[in-house]
Amino acid sequence: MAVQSMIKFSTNSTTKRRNFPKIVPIWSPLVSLLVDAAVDICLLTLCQGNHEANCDNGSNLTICVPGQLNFTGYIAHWKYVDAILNFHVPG
Amino acid sequence: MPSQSSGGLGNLWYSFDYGMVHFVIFNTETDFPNAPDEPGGEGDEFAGPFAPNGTQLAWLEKDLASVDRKKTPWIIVGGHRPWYVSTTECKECQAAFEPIFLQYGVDLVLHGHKHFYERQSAIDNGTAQEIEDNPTAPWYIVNGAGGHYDGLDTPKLPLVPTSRKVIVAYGWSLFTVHNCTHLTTQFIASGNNTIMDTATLYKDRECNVD
Repeated sequence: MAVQSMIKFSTNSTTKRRNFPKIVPIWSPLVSLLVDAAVDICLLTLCQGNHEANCDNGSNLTICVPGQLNFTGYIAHWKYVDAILNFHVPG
Repeated sequence: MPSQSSGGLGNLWYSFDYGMVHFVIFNTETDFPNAPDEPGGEGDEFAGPFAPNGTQLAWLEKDLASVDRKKTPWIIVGGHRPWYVSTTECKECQAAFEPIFLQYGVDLVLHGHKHFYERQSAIDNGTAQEIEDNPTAPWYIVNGAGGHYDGLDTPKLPLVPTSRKVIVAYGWSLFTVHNCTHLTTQFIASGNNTIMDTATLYKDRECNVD
């Protein structure tokens, strides 16, 4: 029997604010506002957060929002169900 | 995460069986003596602890002691910070976890944190054992090259004596458990699926795998 497992232990890339071209100056502020809001929501509630994942690579933690500290985002997001089909739980 | 069923803690430490492998995820950031992310640690995270003192290491020992090596001959563990790597090493992590992994015959230790790939030998307290020679110590692989906003890191030269292969390119690891004696890993480049490294661990043992 052969079992193959694919494991990635690297951190996810961060969500960055994007620069929008100024070809539609009327709409660009609104678009930027919406995107910024979405990014903030992601940072606070949805993204992995904490440690080096989404804010800082160990040098300036002052740029990290609360959802990225104390493993808050990590604990809140990566909480998949326990009982997984075909997984035998020891004990 | 199978933490409740394995007696672990949320997504911070837990274990499960899959095929011939007992997998353990452990936490190198908090919840052991001098943990780097806890207040007073070498980092600035001021995180945790998330359980009473000694909980994680006690759980880890109990979990590893309960593994039926006839059914799951392989034990693969994964934790974030490496202590065998050609750049800054987590000595606190080594002090906490390496004795346990040696005691319970862990086969493979996987780490991230450093954003490159480095395959080590099997290692017992700094002394290399070659993976094709039925090592008694765990084999160590660092793969933090899956992708990061800061890009890739650069290993320090000279490489540590236990280093066997270094690749500074984005990629991922494929593990193939052939049977109870042979386990192969490959490092595959994300950009073009090129297999950039292949290595096989040999363990001389018998088992009763279904």
